[in-house]
Amino acid sequence: MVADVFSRTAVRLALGFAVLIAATVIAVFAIIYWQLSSELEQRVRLRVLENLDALSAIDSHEGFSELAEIVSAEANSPRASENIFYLIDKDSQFIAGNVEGIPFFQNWRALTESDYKRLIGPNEERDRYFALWRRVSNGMLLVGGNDRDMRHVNDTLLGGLIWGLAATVLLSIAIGGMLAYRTQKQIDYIATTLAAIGEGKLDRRVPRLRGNADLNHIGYQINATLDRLQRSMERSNQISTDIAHDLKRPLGRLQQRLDTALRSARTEAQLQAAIEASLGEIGIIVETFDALLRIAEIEAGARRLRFTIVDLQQVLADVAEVYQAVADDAGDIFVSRLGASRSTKVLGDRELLVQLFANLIENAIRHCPKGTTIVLSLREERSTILAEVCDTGPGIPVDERDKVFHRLYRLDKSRSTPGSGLGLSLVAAIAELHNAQITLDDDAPGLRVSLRFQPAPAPQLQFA
Amino acid sequence: MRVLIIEDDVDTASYISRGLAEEGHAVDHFTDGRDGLLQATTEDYDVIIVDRMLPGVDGLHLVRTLRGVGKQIPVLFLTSLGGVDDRVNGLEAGGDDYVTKPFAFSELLARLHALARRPPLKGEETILRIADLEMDLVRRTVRRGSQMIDLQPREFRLLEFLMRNQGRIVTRTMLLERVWDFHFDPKTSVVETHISRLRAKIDRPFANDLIHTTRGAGYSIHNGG
Repeated sequence: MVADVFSRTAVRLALGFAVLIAATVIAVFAIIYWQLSSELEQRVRLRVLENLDALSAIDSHEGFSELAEIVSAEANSPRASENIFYLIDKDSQFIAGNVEGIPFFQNWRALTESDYKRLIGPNEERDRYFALWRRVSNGMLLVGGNDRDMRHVNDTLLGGLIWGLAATVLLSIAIGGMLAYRTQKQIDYIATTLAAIGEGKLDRRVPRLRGNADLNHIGYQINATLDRLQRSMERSNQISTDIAHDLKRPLGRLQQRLDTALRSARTEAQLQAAIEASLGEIGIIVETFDALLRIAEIEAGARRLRFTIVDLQQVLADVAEVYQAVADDAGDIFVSRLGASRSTKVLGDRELLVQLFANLIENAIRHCPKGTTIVLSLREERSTILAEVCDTGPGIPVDERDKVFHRLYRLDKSRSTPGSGLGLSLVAAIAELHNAQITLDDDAPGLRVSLRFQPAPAPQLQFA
Repeated sequence: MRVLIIEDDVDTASYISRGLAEEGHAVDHFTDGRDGLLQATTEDYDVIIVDRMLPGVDGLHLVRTLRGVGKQIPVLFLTSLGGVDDRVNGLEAGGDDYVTKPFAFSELLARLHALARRPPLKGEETILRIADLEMDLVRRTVRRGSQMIDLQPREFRLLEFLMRNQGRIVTRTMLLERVWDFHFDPKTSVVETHISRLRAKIDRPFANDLIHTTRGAGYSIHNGG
């Protein structure tokens, strides 16, 4: 359990931060300590040098005996515990001072308790002295200054460090722990939500909590993904249902025909007719499956590998040539306006592009009343190539315009005409494969289907 | 016509062989790709029907090997994979035509006839004739008797395809693929419309019709009947 707690990211982060903050605090204190110590030591040395200078001046102006008297007085003064004085003659005999038994040394030396013997005044504080010898007229003089101030300052500093450190560490653990707890709670929520979704509860979502914005962002992304997933699963469920419904109708008719033939067909001609009609129904079923498989193949996107440079103008001209006659025979008026002045080459799959426009024109021919005008046009619009199929038929109501791209969706009024409800899904799939933007608009009256293609990149100039 | 079927699905194979036998053709059937390949290289056939997915050696590989050893027998692929990649891969491997399952027997038969009796490629064959109808492929002119007939480019292609297969039935799907390059099933009467336009120019002004409709199967161009 404990190991489990420590292995959690949030807890590890919180502890890590506490250690880091403590280390920083200690480092800062160490620097302050070192700088303050050397500053204070410098001041003690200055004090010693001032004393030595003053006493040397007395020696050279007023003589050795006057010096001895002054040193003796200083040694007995109440301030004496801050300093040590030690005056000896040429034979190293004690003349005056508050310490004794210190041998001569060059330069500065820090004298500890064992280095000197104190004659006057208390030595409770076990002071350390920074001391320096100097020659005088009739002997040698040692003056030392203690580091008591330094120690006081350092002690204060150390106390501050300990308390400060304790407070900092406690505070950072507390804040880190709190953040860790919140983060952990969010992570736990995400984990339990994902687990629930794994079990099939697709409507579950990660709750939004106060606090960690990153985790909330992840939660938001997870929820958005789940929304899409749920929609797509619902749609695919819907498609399965629709396929089942759509296939049940021809299967039902097939069953009825065969059943009727079995019971009442008496002549060979009647049987022949029944079998032909049955094959027709099977053809419709196979066609639906073919269309579904084709849409799936197109949506998988593998056909992009076969993309070549295709001239849309040529594709539309070919399609127009085929359907001009078909529309004439259906009693419609077909007009093609293919007057693009710039290049109309796109990167694409010719076969599919032909199918796309054929589908749109066939829709117009089949779902519009006789005498409808169908216009196929191609022109450039800003940087895109705009291909349009317009008709003067009944159009599609605004709220159904998105739905007609869904698989097997059919407008109520088109239920009576034969068709799989897959034509526009196929159109949408082909358009998407080509990164073409497809829109349905009211052509007042009628329907306008617009497709905006990106022109193919200009071919590299080849110099042979 | 002597036909070799290499197909591991016994139901499909017997459906095809029964149909072909009824039409008076000789049929051999193998379920394994390796056996089929051996048979195809050692015996002479007019046409071979190969399933894309086979145990032993798969269909693509089989046809590639066959072409590799110099056998130019026409090959028709049977595939349950309707995707474009499958079709293109099949044709690139050396297949001559393909039919997607499920298929109508009449469709398969029409395609087999077209393959088996495909005339050897003669570069100099520039004039096609049937009865008093004459088509000059170089000058792009068509005349019937003494009368010149003016055809649109696509009508010319339609007539040319019918003429090259004269006496044989060509299906609606074959016409869509070869004449219009349509690899889908149109929902409007594309073929019927254009056949009827062609008839109006080729047949209507004259005494006897050359373009005939076989109900449920397709169209053919032949003299009389």
